[in-house]
Amino acid sequence: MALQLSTITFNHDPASPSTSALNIRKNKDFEVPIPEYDSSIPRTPPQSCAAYAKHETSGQTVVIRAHFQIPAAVNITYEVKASGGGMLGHLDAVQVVFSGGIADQVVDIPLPHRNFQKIQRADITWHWRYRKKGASKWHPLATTAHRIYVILAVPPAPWTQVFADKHNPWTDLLDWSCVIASGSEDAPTAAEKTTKDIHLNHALRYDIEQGANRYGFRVTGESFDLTNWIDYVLRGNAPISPVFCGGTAEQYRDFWIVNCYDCAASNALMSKVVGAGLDYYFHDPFGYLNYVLPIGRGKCNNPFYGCLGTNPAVGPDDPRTYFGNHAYPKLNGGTNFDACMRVWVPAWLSLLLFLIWLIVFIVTLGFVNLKNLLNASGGWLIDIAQTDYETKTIDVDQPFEAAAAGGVPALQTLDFRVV
Amino acid sequence: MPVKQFLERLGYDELLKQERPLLGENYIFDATKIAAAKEFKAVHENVFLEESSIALVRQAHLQHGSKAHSSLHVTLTLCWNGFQDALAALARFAGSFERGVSAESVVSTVRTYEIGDFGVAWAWSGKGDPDVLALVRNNVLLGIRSHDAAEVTVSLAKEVDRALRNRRTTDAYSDTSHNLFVELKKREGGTLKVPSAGKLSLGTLPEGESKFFFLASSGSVNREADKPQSWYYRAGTDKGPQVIRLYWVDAGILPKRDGLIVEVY
Repeated sequence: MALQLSTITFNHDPASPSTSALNIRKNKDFEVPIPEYDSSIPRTPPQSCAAYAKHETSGQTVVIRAHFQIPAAVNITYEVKASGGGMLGHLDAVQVVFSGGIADQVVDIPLPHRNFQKIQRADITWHWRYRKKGASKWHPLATTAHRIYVILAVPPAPWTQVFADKHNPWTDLLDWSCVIASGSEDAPTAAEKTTKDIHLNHALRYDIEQGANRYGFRVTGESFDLTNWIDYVLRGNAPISPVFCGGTAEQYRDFWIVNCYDCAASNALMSKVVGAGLDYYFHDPFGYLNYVLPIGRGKCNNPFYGCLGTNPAVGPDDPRTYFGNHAYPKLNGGTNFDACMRVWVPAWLSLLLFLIWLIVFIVTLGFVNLKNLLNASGGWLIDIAQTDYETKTIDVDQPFEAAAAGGVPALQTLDFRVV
Repeated sequence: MPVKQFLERLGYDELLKQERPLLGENYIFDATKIAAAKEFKAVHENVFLEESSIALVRQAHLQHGSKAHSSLHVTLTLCWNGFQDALAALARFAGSFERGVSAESVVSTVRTYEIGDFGVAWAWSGKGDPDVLALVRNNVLLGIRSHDAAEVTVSLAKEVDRALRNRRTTDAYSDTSHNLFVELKKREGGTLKVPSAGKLSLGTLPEGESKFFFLASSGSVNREADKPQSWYYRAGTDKGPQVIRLYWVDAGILPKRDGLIVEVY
């Protein structure tokens, strides 16, 4: 009598991120199906997906729920196991007992061999086998494939674990964020990787005309256009039209032009979705800039030099355009992670900082990795204290410069569009 | 200068104590029918519903036909709950720039151009036609960002404001029946019930010019994976009566709304 594996449910307890997979959805329009695996419905691994939180599952008995069937009700006991499984690990043999005229049985199978130490996304495969209890030979039962996301902790607000809420983490974003922050075992590392990725890897350029946002969030009460951010920026599908600075050397797809609200909001949402508590702060007024590298731009202390402008960097105390305000995220209210700009560092200083880092790294055989030196070499404003951040970015040397500064960062309630 | 300060200087706080009627007749922003924008054509459009204070937002990117660098970004926001929300939307629009603007550059659209119930405008250079203009007429915000098209900003705003001003107003919006809910009630009969975490099929909505937006007090309204035009309600874990709201809009800015009550048990 053949045993059948009917379904596998990873998210079997929507109220528990400790013993069950998390509540997730694909995007604002589509849910992730539950049970995630159903033998009667062909699905690709991305469609049969689940997410787990490292922190909440640590030390817990995490189980999946499998539903087995036999063609007719008889009293019989099988043993079932699975090899493979990637970070979920192989499944030790469990008993599936059919008795009392039942042809269906549901069994919770623990995941004792899982490895949820770091952020990752992987398509895993289980090769299921079964045998009648007491028999020696195992028979193939099924091969199932799933996309599994491992994140650091339950994503903080605006993400939620309220069942059936559209703010459940989106797999359309996890597909990117888990890869970007892949390998991170803590929040600062995940936030650092996300910050650098936004700044470097999506062909984004700062709005040198008005510093206007394209994706909708600035302060509390507004919502970030996450759907278009994923499509236009992460997937690279920004429409060819409209264009920014049309007919000039600066011509570019308008939806690849951003300002710091876009960078800060996306950074916070993308970090939060992998469990790193990066919050959005609005700093108003901000002031005149020291020499920085706005996202996708060169050395600059005159950020709004315009489509036809040739003077992004003027004398350090010259009259120039300035940041009326600015936005950047902080990790749990502490240090700053700015994806919108880097500090401009002279080549000699950059090289010196790098060499010091390298020497220390080599002398200590890799035991001491002074990441702050390496980040300083690249001008990164990452994991940096507020006073240090302001010293590096805001120019207050002259009275007119000092008069334009003076604001403090204020925490904003970040949200994103779900309707 | 923080936005709050120049808004205060122009009398924003006084307006917060006042009320205005609601736009009672739809307005369709069609660049081809606006004399000031006759040289421009719409190259991109975006329509969405803001959830926190219900507002239908329609954004249009207009590109000049022959001057590649000239473009206009027009935002029309209809605030369902009235004038106060429109004023708040104006403050947000005016503040949506990282570029610093000097206080002297910001003028009142009411005093300078005689448009809007309240409005602000400025040129980044501090002189000449405004690059940015935002005004509120009743419960509608008009926001314009121009790139090398400042000479058009005010005339465009005047035409839109005139059209808004001349439209019928109303004191309150009422619900309009939508076939989706009518059919559903007919099909299910009596009180609609669904178990906690259960699924209730709502029906199919056509893809086309109409845009549909669902809000649910608990749970969510989703598309079927294999039939994206079909929608269903997924109940949450909150039991009791839950409200599903459907907003829909065609070419204009005035949405219609219908509601449905579902008993989650």
